[in-house]
Amino acid sequence: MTVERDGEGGGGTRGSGTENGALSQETGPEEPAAGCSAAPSTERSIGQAGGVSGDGAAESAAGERTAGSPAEAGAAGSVGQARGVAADRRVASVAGEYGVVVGEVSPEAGASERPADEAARPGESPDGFDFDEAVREVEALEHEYRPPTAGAVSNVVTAVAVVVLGVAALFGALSLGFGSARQPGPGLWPLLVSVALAVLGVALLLGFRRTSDAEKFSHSSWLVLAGLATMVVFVAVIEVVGFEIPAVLLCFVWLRFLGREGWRMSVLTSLAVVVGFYLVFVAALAVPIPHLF
Amino acid sequence: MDLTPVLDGFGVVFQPTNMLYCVIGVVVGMLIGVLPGLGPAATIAILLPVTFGIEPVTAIIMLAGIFYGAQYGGTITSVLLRLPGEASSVVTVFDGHALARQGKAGTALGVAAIGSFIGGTVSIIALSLLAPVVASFALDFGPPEYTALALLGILLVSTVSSGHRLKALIAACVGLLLATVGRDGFTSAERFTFGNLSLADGLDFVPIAMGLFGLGEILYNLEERHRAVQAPATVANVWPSKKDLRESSGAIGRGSVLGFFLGILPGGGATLSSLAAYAMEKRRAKDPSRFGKGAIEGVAAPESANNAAATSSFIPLLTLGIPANATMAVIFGALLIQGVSPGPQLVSEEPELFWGVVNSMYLGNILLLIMSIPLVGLFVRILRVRATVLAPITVLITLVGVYTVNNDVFDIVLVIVFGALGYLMKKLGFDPGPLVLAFVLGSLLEESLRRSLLIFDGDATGFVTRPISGTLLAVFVLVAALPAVRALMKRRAKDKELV
Repeated sequence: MTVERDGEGGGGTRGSGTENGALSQETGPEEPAAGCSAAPSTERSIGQAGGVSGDGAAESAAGERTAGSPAEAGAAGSVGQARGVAADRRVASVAGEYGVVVGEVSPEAGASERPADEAARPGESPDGFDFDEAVREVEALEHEYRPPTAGAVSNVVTAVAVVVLGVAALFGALSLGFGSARQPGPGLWPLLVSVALAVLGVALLLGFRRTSDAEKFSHSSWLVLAGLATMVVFVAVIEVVGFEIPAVLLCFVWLRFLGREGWRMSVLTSLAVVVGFYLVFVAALAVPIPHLF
Repeated sequence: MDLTPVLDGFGVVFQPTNMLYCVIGVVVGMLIGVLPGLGPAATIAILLPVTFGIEPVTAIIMLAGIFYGAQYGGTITSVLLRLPGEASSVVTVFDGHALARQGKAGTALGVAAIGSFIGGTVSIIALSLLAPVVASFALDFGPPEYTALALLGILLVSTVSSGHRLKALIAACVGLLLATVGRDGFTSAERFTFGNLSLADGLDFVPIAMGLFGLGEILYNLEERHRAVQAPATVANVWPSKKDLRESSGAIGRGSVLGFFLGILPGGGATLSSLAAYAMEKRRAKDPSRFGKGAIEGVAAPESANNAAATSSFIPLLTLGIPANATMAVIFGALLIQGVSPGPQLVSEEPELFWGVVNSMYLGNILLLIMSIPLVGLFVRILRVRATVLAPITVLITLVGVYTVNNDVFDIVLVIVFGALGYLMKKLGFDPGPLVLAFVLGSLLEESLRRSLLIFDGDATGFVTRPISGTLLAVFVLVAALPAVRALMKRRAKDKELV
């Protein structure tokens, strides 16, 4: 637990490091779609722009400007050229970006290429925006108290469960009959999906050592089981005794035992909540939910 | 372009009921944005039963308000407490909280509010121009095109949105399988019902979404303790100075445009665009080292981008009928429940609904701007309501709410089952988003596939020879194959190094 937390504590600073190269990924793939003249050289030039970031004058030419028209970008481009090669490169990348801005990117073609590139395996170039890493940091920041990752056993069990589900669905689909391509039967589509599921499950099984995003079940997982139990009790008895008593019990267990609130607070809040529910759902909205009173 | 339906849309917005629900949506959105734990997808899922009693336009206006309201709400806690209420506000923590520690929390919040407003508004205008064009282009789409489009949408959402690609695809396949439960539309054969009469009509979307997003998240949060919240310093002087505005204006402009485009992409959305906008600003900056130490652009860009993306992610939903992310999948479900099937015909056949929802976003963004700043103090006070008290209330709302949909106890059983599944999925690293998305697209996908096969007389090459579906499938193969190719190239590069 401690180790995990230590690792994530630095999320903020690590984040700043990896996000550096995003621009190159951002602009690169869309330039052809936008038809910008600066496109061919851009991919490389952005990569190098990082190296010239010390060049104060050149940087200010490109950096200070606000978003505007491509004409503006072009004008800035000429300023850049006057200041030297480094600035030219930088402006080329900016112009490419404006190409993206004004170009009508059809949501199918141009659009779909980009996430593919962004989501693809990181770390090719030292400058590449490590998207997976950034997402992981976002998640780490969200769950600062996340339990440690699960071991190999848990990963294998998960993958096997997926394969079993796929194979079971496969047999189910076969028994439905898949007809022919000309006359598709009810089992054709489930058959295709279950084959895909089984194959993906096998792939997950083969890579079980590399999965690190599952969490270990800890002693606090019992809290979840207890929470589920209160819901099962609720649904089991609701048709017999109405919703009020199981609702009070559910609320009380969640407050007192799962939330560690005080006794008084738990009892009073549970009663107040259920009275509120009664007033809203039964008295005001007349929902036909089974009720005692 | 005929402007009459656009103007009629304003008439829809200014009906008192719709304005009221717009306000409710935006306020609820900001609230859940402030509270860590439940995200917009979960909140919208839990509120689905509420939408049954109201008009479709009104319902979607409210749900949309929740979605973009949440983008701003998350900012408040990011800045004041270093506690992002939403995933899309995580990057705001870096500079927003640094500014707060320098006593400039008000400036950060003010710039974020203005950025959100501009980003949202720019995005609505662009949406109004772009959406009818996309819709008219897509009007000619037949079953083969829809097959390819739905497949591509599911693949993109699974591979782009979050961590483990393989697991996301597995979740999507499970969603597709769940969609086949019930009577087959073509042959009336019962599939995977196991003789259960309640399953004969298929699984309902509401318990699945409420269980996976709502209960699943609550159960998951039971285990993980959120950091104790300390009362933040008082927020003074929320109006940013002219200098701050000048410094952030470029970032707001760039963030808005970037957010708009990333929001359209399936799997893009608010989180990705805020990350990308932050990275872009840092990359452009004269002195990147200022970032993380209170650079105002580091707040302005991601906040503009996430609101722009929240708005533009309505484009694929309203024009193609393909939701671009998990929240849109839930809104898609809400529309289907209301008897509205989103698609290219929506703009022309239900202009009141389309323009009513789109134009309500102008109002929502104005509300965000004028309410957010005076209400900051209230939102901070709400943070003192403990998660332990909110959790059982939310559980009860879910259990009772799902019952009210069909007045059927079986739905409560289903929501608990999917709640448990949602918890297990989160625990084991599976994102429930692709499952829900694949579930809502599942029947459309199967239907178009089988119709296409009938059209092609069993010849599957027809998918490839039609230009649009062929292109879409080519992109599909490209996206699917890219990670493998990259991995291979990487391995080869490594081998070379070894030699």
